[in-house]
Amino acid sequence: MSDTPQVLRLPKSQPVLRLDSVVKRYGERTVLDGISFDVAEREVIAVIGPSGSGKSTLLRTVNGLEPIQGGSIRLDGEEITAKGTDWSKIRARVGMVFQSYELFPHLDVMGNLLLAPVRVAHTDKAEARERAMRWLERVGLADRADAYPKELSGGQKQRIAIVRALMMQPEVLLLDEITASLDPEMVREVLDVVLELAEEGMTMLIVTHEMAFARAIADRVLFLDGGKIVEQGEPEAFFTHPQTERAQRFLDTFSFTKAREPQGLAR
Amino acid sequence: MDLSTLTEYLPLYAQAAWLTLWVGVAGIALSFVIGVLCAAVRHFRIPVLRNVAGVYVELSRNTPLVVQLFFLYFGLPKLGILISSEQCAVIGLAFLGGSYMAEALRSGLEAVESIQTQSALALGLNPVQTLRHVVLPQAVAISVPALAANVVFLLKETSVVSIVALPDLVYVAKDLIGNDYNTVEALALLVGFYLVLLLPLSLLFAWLERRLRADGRRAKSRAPKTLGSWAVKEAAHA
Amino acid sequence: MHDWEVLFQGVNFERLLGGLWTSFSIALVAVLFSLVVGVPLGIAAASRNRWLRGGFQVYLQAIRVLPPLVLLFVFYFYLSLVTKVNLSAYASAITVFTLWGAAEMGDLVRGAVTSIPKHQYESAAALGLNPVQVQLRIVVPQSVRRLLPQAVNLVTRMIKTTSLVVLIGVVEVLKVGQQIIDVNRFEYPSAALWVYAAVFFMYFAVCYSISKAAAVLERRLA
Repeated sequence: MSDTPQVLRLPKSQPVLRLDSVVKRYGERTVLDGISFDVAEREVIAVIGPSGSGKSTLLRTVNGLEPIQGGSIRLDGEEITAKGTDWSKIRARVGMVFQSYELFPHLDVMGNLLLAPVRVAHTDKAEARERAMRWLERVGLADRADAYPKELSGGQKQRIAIVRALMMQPEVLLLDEITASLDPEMVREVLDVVLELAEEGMTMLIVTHEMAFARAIADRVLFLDGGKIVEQGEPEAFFTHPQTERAQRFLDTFSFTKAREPQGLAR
Repeated sequence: MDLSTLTEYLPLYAQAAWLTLWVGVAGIALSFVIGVLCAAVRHFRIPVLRNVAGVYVELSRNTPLVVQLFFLYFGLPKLGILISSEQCAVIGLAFLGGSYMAEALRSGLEAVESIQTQSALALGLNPVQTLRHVVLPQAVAISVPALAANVVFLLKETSVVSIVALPDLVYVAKDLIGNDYNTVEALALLVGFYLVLLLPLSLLFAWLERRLRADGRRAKSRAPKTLGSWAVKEAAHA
Repeated sequence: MHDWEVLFQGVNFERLLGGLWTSFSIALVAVLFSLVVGVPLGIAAASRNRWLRGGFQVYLQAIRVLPPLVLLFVFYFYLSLVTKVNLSAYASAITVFTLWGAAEMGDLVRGAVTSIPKHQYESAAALGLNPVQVQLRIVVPQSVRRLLPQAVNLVTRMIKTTSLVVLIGVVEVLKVGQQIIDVNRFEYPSAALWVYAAVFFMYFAVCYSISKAAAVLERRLA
């Protein structure tokens, strides 16, 4: 196994990420209303909640795609939301995968994978290519290295997008609804990759609508509503016995048993 | 139609066609430069310059080339700005074409979705690298059909440069009709020469556009829609 | 430099406006004819009949490949030669711009009609609408929404293109301008600057207003 790429692990005592009272506003509207939590090394956190609850925005504040209006975010103890942060440097350490894959359509798979390592990390091209090939083998796409994004299925594209983020050997990986655009039969192949990463100790912050997946992968679940963390805890406890009424109502929308009451839609 | 008249006129037209082509190429090249500059200052919202570019684009797009040329050729000398017929034709064509090129390039830039930029930034690329490696290659590819259409459009627009006393194809034709009354031959050569100049380009660009559009359609039909279960069924392995 | 006064000497300004009207009237008549000819042409071009479709494409490309000025020359000089009827410059201009406008208009109509997704026809038919109702209630309203802004833009293109008539000797605004400049050569030596600037801004005022109207329409109807 020594020649298969592994998730980068650093010995650390402090949390990888620390969010402290993060506030995000769009004009008058408050999207994130004082969010605080830590992400420990090797921890996998699933962020769930109704649409519009601020989940994706939360993820995007962590790598500076959304500037925040209050509070602070620390990466390895260093405040990254301070003025004068070089976001390019931070982003090179924080991987992100988007719902819509966002592979670069004008570059082939290898071009997509090499762009950041070569241009940003200044890795030797041959070395980066070798690493890319090993990752591609791991996700079962070694034969697609020369393909262009438009020649790939959604599931393939998303696996490539994950590998593209991993090529920078990030300390933490942000996954934003990465299966929401996929056909049901392709969800599995993508989630399997993520499960493997979790087993290897990749630190991850995952926004998802796949409740079964969140339950299987997360060390901790954060339930967001109205820009606040309404509830958090161990996945088993959260999914079987949510403590708040709002979380209960949210989880109910995923089960169909209640709709079968006699006064249902029939007639 | 008299063949000997045709052959007699041929060199005159060839010379005029050369002039038309020369003015066209120079004007189009200059249009492209103006277009790149205008598209850049408008896309990146550079203060003051973007307003200047905005005013220019409106002035250029909402006036005919003939009127622009009259002002340049007859009006400007009264301000002490003396330019030759050739310069005038090239500048006029560039003044008209610059705005068309700018709009084509700008819509290309706008068509590259902001989330593509974000995903490049998320990988750690700085804004300049993002532009250079991710946005520009896509934007230019998207702009190509519109730019090509502009080239044909501008080449056709060169047909009016005889009003600034340039002996182009139209000028020669008008001259021969007026002096020799060989109307049929003069017109046949006029049409023939313009076809030689324009038809290959038109066909090439039409073919190019069809190909690009077919590519785009194929790519689009593969991309699933955002609602998971409503996604268009994809070919499992292309 | 009080030469701008030449614009308002005597009836100069009215004469310029009159000249402008000459080319605009050509544009307006041509637009009107283009609508009458172009709309049915476009509908035919959107039909399933491959002869109609192909025929329209041949016509459209034949018109498009040449500069409008060359078309104008061919008509003006050639027709007067073969028909022995001296077709006036004004009439040739209307003919040529109608041919040109009908082709462009037809293409816009064709584009608007074919842009309506097949599902619209299918779901209308599924609701029990008959073919005439489908056309009247579903296809026409949607096509018109798409077509209207583009048709308005075609008017500005037409107005700009009709400025070419000065090259076949129609006495329009540039020609009138030239006359004014010639008459005032000694009294107002830099009249050319002001007259042609005025013509430039007259065109701009008209075309810009129409373009803006098209943009507003587009936003409203989108």
